[in-house]
Amino acid sequence: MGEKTFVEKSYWLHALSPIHIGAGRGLGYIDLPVVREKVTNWPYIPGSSVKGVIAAHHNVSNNSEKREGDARIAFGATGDDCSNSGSLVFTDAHILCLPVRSFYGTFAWITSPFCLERCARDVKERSAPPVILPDEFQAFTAQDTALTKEPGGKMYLEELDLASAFNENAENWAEKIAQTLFGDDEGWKKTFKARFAVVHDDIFTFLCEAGTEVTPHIKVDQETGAAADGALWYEETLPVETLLVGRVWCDKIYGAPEDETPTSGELLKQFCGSELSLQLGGKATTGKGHVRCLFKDIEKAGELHE
Amino acid sequence: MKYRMIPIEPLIARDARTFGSGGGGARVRSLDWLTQTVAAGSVRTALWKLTGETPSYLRSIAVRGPFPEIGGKFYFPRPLDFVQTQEGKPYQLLPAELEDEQSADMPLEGLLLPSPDTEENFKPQKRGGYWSLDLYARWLCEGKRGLTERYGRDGRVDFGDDWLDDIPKDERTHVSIAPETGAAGDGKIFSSTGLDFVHRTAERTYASIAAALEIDERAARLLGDFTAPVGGMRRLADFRQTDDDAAWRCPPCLDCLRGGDRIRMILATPALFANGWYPGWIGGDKTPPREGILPGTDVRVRLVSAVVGRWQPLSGWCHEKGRTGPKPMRRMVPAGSVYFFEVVAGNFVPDRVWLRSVCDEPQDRLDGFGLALWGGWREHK
Repeated sequence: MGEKTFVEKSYWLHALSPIHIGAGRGLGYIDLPVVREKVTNWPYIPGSSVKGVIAAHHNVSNNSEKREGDARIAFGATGDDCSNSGSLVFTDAHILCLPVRSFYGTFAWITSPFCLERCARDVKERSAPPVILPDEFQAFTAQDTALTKEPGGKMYLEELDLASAFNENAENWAEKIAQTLFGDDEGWKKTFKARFAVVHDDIFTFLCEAGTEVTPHIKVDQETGAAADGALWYEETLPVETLLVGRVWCDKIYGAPEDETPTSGELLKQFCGSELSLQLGGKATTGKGHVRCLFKDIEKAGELHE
Repeated sequence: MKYRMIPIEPLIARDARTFGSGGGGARVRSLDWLTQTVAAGSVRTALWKLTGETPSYLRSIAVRGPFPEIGGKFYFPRPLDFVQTQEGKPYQLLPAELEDEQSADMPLEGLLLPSPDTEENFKPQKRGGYWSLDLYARWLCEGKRGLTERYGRDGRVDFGDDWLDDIPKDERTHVSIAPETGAAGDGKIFSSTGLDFVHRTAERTYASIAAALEIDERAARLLGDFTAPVGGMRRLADFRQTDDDAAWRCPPCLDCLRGGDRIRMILATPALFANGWYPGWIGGDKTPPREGILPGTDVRVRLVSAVVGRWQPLSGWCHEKGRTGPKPMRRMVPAGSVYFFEVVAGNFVPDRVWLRSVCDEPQDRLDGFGLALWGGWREHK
């Protein structure tokens, strides 16, 4: 018989370099776009990408037929006689804050009501502040925002100008996210809160479409030292400082003798315990995809009631 | 106990097609909505993981649903006896007697042809989706009149957020990274299609689409609130108990059907019958007079006509020890299909049969197939 509970944690990703999780070849002017959600068109990171990278971080053999011990229990194995799906299940990482150009404050960490609502759901945070709904051309900020010239003044994000207003729930959300991501680092917490703003979902969609990083690339011809013919392409990335959040859940543990089987809690602690420094997505050799990955405890995912 | 299942990411309800990893790639496809065995299987498997209950007990757990729900508003698959012109004019399909010079290739002799209540010739719009409970109640009670009175505009109908379109499908491409090259492995590519449970609201914001479920009391007491994988690729969903049972109660306006002599059965979930689209309880040999007792009642009815959609595949994977492997593929009567009956004997009371299963096999009933909504119908003019 298994344990009496399911155990899970939230995971938070903080981009330290641009992230490129490709969607294949694009049909528009961007040759290599990033993956996006179907309905919102917001970028995300698939759980399957996160799982593979965390397995690699723990030096779990890339050849999954050769995985042994707890690594095999956590991440599974393939093979005709030994296939095992692994117990750790990573959900997609949903976008929480997108950094966008701001006329004041250099850049802003922008979020929207639906981002916050999903964040509260994904991390099962029952004490999350209520989600706030700004008007279409309005942004809510925390106290002492750096995104306007004076309190309540205009905010300029990319080519948009928005009316700004202090909002207590925005302040509470900024505090909560800053505490989760930056802990005791008062400097970074202050920086985050001063740049945090909540905009309407439609404005957020526009910024997710127009505010990602798109860089042109060329291939240099070795013979001429100039750009090769036809070798120009555009790559899209999630900018540095993007914040995303997801969940890792531990399934029933299979595939090991009873006395050697770790508990779900032990397995999560072993592989999803302390902060990790990971490389996610493509273009690794050009420095893309470096993230901080933090794990936070959340309430029990299911408990036997009798 | 009523539950709200909240998907955290796109979910996959497999469509019975096999999946392989050949050099040309492979596809994991999804049906348009979660099948009953996907929902019931997730609940039963979660309970087994926590308690190790026996397969026979797990199979006996009744699970009803799932139905889409957005912010407390419940939706059911749209009825197939509703048709709309390309311009949006609504019509109702009603059983019609053919005139002397007319003929139709009906599957059984003596069944009436469901025809639009108009002389106009038109090609109906192709639109699936889901109707809110409010909209459904009007359709079941008053037919087309109930819709045009409330939603009519310039001869068309505009249902606003009472009509939820099909759940959008999210398509992904997956690759396997080869350790020796750091690049995608040769031929290690496949795609998957999942249902994205996000809805764009009339206020131009977004909301999560949940799925309303009912789980039998003992299992619900054991499980409480929980998280479990649902469907293919172990995508997760939260299951939360709720006191909101509005969807499960028969709307009071349908009291007008009590004791009526013409009743319409609309499938809110796909059904499995012993004889394909034809319910076994009407009489196995399919010959007239095609009478039977409505399940769970003493009402004797006669089948007059039916509007049945194209069959849908049902597949699955059995995890039970000794029986592990793929389940045989079955054909479901799609949700939204409509059966027209005349009451021969007994007193029809709609709230006794509201969202109760009409399937022939007890296990199919426990799995939540064939949950039915009930309405009336009028004579074709």
